[in-house]
Amino acid sequence: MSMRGFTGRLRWSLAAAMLLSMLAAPGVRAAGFAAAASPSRFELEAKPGDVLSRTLDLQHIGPEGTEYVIRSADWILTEEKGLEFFDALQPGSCRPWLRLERRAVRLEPRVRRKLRFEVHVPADAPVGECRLAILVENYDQRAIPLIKDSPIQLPLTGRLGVIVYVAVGGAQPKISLVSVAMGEDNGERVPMVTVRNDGNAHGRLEGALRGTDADGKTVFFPVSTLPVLPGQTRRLPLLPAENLTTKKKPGLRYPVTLSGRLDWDNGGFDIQAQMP
Amino acid sequence: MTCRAKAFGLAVLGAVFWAPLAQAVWVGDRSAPYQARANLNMLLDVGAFIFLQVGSAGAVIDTVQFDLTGLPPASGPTATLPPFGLGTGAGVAASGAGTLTVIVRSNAGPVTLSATNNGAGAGLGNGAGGYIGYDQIRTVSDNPGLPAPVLSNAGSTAVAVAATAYSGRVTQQTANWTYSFANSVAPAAGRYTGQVTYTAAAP
Repeated sequence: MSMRGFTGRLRWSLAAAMLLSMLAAPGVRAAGFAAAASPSRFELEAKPGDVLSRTLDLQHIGPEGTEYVIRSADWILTEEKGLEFFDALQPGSCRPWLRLERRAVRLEPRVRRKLRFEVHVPADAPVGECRLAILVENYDQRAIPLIKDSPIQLPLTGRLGVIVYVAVGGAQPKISLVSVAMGEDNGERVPMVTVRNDGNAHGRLEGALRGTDADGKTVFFPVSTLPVLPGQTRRLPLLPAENLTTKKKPGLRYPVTLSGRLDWDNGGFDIQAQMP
Repeated sequence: MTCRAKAFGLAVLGAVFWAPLAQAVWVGDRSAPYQARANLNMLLDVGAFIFLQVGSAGAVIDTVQFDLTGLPPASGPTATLPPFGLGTGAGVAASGAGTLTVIVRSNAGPVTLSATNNGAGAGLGNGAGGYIGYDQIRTVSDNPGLPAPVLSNAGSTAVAVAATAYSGRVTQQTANWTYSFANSVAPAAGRYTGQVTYTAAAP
């Protein structure tokens, strides 16, 4: 082989190696989103000055390993717009308390990986609830390869929002019952319980009411476990429980008489109501 | 049975009772029909999780594309015809794959799904100051239990993913979302790109 031929081959080999390394570099390729997180949320308690350490398990379910970005966000949950996330730091945000072990993590297919994080509660933190979200999303979403010379291209991807609550200094919910009435949930007419939280931490209702319809059929109505944030008044649907054998929703003929008890973190309500 | 044997037996029983993971109670008898019974307390710790898949989960992020060239012309009075079929209001199906499979699974109570975009409130951009509003992108789900959030420049209102079992605690939903372009505006010329991110959470 001549010297010139050897140099030419070496040049091509180097170019091929550089191209391969570019393709393999993080951010050049972005995989479709298929991720699981466990637990799905954290509900923690702390005193001012505490440091809480927890781990979040992550798993990628796609056929190829991929990089995920981990970051924090603020959020609110309203009845009108549902759950909204904010990248910008919101007034009173406790995101500066969060320390993430890493900002990016590579997940191999179906391999569970732990992500550690800490919440550093300042010594002068007031009594109240810190709420933030840990977002798990595709690595560098700006590096989307355009796959066709098309006038309008819209890449679509996913993200997990792991909600973190930290009740600081003994913050507690204080939930009171406002009303029980019929309402609409996802286009379905169902009984709804309206509650108000006058405390300084979120709370949830638990339990089910026993319902008897116009034909004497008995069906249980478990209450939605959506959180009620401090200061919020929220309507929570009471959806009739599905048949355990057929997994189908029961056919009901109204009016339905509801009775029983719904509990929250520090108390409960006895309810007796007729739904027209 | 001797006292020493009884003491040994009691010690063994005590060890069984005190062993932190051996939650068993053994009951026997010494007379016919010699029945023995063992009660074993079961404890299953099922961790809460949430899972979201958007699209094929393949090597690249799924992308829907719309080709607005060569649209059929609208019929009607010539003076009011939108040229080249742009802005006729007749929806345009995606070119290539326009249907996305979305999977949501969780065992942690109500799950919400919302959509955000990278348009900073302006829409899909062409890099030259032209924008197409995200509300021009329509999504239809084939599963009412997993509706598609309605896209807009401001993001979306979160939708509730319907639970499938355990009285609202467990959710396993799969849907095919089909995208189309509303074509109710005639945008400035150019190639438009954007990105939509769907966020699942169990608050």
